[in-house]
Amino acid sequence: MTNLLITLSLVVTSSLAADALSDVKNQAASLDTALVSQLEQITPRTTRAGWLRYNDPTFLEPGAATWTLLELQLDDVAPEQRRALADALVRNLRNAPQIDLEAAWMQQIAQEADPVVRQVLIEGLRHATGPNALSALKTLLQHPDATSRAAAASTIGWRSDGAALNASLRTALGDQDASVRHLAARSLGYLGDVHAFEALEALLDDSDPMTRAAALQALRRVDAARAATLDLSDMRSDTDARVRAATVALDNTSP
Amino acid sequence: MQKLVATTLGLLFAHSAFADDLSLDVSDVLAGETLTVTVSGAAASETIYFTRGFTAGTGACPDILGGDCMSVTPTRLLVTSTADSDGVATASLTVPSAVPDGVTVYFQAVAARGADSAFSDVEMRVTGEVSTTGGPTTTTTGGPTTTGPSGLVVPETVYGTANRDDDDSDGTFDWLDVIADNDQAAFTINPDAAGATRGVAYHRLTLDDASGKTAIWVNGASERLLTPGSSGGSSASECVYDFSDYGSESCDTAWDEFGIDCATLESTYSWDCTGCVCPGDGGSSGGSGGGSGGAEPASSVTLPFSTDAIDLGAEFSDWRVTSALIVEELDASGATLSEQTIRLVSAPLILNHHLQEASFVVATELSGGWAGDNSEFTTPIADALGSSYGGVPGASYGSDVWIQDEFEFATSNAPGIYQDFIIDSIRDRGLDPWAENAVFGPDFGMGVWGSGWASSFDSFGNLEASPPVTVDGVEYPFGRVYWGENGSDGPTVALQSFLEAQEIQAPFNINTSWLAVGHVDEFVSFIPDASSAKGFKMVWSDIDMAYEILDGMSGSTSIPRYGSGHGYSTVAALRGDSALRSYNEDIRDVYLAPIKAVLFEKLGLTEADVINIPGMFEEAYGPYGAALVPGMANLVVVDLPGEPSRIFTADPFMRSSASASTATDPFATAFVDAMPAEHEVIFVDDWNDYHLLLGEVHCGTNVIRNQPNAWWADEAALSLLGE
Repeated sequence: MTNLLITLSLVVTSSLAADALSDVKNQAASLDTALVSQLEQITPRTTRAGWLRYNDPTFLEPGAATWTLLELQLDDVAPEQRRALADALVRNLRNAPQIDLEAAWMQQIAQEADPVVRQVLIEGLRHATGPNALSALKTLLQHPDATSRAAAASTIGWRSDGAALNASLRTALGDQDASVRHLAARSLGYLGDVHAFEALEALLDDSDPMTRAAALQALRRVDAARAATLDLSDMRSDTDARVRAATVALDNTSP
Repeated sequence: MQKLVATTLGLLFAHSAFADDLSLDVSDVLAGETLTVTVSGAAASETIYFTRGFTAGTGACPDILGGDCMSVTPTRLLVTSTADSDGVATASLTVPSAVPDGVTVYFQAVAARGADSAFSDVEMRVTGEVSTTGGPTTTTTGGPTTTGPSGLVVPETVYGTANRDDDDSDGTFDWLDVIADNDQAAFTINPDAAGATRGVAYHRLTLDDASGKTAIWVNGASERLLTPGSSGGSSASECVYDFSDYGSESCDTAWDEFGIDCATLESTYSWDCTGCVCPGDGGSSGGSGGGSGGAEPASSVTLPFSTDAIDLGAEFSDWRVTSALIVEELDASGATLSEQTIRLVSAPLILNHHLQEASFVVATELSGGWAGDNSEFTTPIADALGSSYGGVPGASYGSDVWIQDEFEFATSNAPGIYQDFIIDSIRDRGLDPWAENAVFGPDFGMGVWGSGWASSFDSFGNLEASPPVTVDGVEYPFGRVYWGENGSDGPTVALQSFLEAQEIQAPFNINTSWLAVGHVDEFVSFIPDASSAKGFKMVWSDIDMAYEILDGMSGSTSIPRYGSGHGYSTVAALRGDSALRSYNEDIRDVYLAPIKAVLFEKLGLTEADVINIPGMFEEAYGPYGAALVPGMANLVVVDLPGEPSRIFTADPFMRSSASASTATDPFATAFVDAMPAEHEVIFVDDWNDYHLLLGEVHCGTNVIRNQPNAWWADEAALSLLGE
């Protein structure tokens, strides 16, 4: 039910996306058959990390994005290959943005059942140039899947226009999932949101060390002078090396 | 068997066929004194190459020998000399005063005439031994001996190594199988010449070995001693693969516990019983039989007294075994007249590091087909290394290009014994069978530690050894082993435990949790530096240096590789991504700074020991990073004997045209400028088949290296081992 609501929300916030995938399917017949033939013969390679990736430059051809979107609709594609397709789609549209396909991309996120594929598609939104990317990310901060919320929180921080969602990120600092808090804090630091200072300071007591470290780094970025006035004695003796290291970094950059 | 690699390695290991037309004479090898080598039988004015190695066997095969190979290994060129009009060439050099006594050295001379090259016989000398007959002719362990009150002379300690290679190429370990290539530590007991007058009627030899991992061979293979209850050749430790997670430790234990034989396990359960004895298969499936000693072994043997020396061999099934052989003189009634104890010690397994000479480099070759073609990666390596490079056919190994990750090369040596060793990761991707197919064999052992599910931390780009270091006064003459982990996960515990038990390289870990791949080789490496007091430098990916270079470049500079590969088509776009800069600062502050502190602490380093090179990271998946600029710290050092030292690393392509010289690339020139002058830097195009797949040059190569120094003759090493 919640998934349905999210999907509907996405569709509502993006009228362009409503029939975007249908539009893509309608384009199937007009795809360059030679290109399709090439793409169909390419097998993804195994990255050093173990997941698959299409490293063949053919996947950067403009027509390849439509094909990868269509492939993502198929039922008989293995999950690891769907992940590679999502990655290829993101890299294609990053290099050559296509607004109409971005709408389909977001609709794919909304209907995607595989959390790993969904994460790849969400993280790719950092490169989306269309008008609906921010609203989609804002909606995704409410997604029932924590990994998707974390991906959205992270992605907002990478966007040059991400500050438009600072308020939503500040709300995400109270998320029940540590990775969401961590990445929301990081993004607020990247975006330099001075209004987040108190909320970030509160995270210095967070139970998650990654969140504490991210909060320290963010505090330094949003207001280094004010951060220098904080009592960080507990952080200097924190049990986690990353927190101690972030404290040292803050000490070293204080005015 | 894979043709290309098999051929190449076959060349490497095959015994060369040649005429012994040179006569070589070698003086005694005494520390600090002059060593003289003389050859006769050469042609007038001919150049003679004098070489040495630490064991006899197929060594280097330089092109000038036209396909033939030296017969000492690792082959090291000592000196050259020109033959006089009588065909005699002589050379002298000073033996370093630091050379320890008791090291067996093999010498050979060659007149390089292509396929008709003339070789001498191999001459062996033991350092510190003064020879009256031109040098010993049999391998001994050297070292001190003790003479008991009776006049019986025995060595105090015998050092050997785990007999885990496959000299008879039967696909099983040699432990209790064959005795070849000096895999047993040979030693001698010299009876008391006056024993008969003292009433000595027998010598009794008793093996004291609670571990069951030692065998003693008496007078060749005529008698064999094993501790009762020991493996007798059926030890699970011989099996290559551990199936504990599937119900039993190995195929052999599965027979003991469940009565399932190897044939069934392999056919029905897809187990691999390589190395196992397979008692349920009538000894025919995988096993080594039970040795060639004939009767069932006992822990003790009694020999009629003779003044003839008793020749013995100590063989081990494992590393770091300590056992003893008790030697007694008995009278006619069996009463003990005297007793002495010989300590039997097996070697540690020592991982190779970048300061050791290279002998052979391998990389996976993709030659068309669905996986494409990686010749832009392999060609420059092959061109530079010639016959010291071998390609692994990717089509036969699942196009798995990550050959660094599947295997770790090591050495397992003892006086007169030299075995290379390959540790096979439980990663088990496409390259997994290569070790068995192309490497495991004579003088090349193999082993697997752990089993079951593998994480990226189990890959061996995540397992490295530093050069020799001294830390707080403690010398680590073979460096220290390090690996990456994330606090809760790391390399399989079985391997960690094994490496820790070796003690000699005192492992430690660093945090690589922030990386998508998670390997230590992604940001740090070590290179030789002759100008450094320590003899090396640590190469470090420096984020600030990368941004300094970028900030000094024209923003309009197009960087097409980064445009298609990473979404940054100009320098301005790359350096202007504030989130990327913040991300890299986070990595620098939160991860790299503490990691460097750990490396400094564990390796006794300071900033003076570091060479910074430009490095940048991007998010690869989730918050986890990977190299954005091809990771140049992910390099490989190839220091072939008699050739210039080479460093192969990734071409950074921070320039407008990929085909333009790297001399126009500020990242490449920064790297070259930072390297010690002794190295030739070779940039490799790894962009498409490695970099975009989250790896670089080190990940795509692996190196067999020559034997390090003799641990048994190194006080610091012995101290680490508790000897």
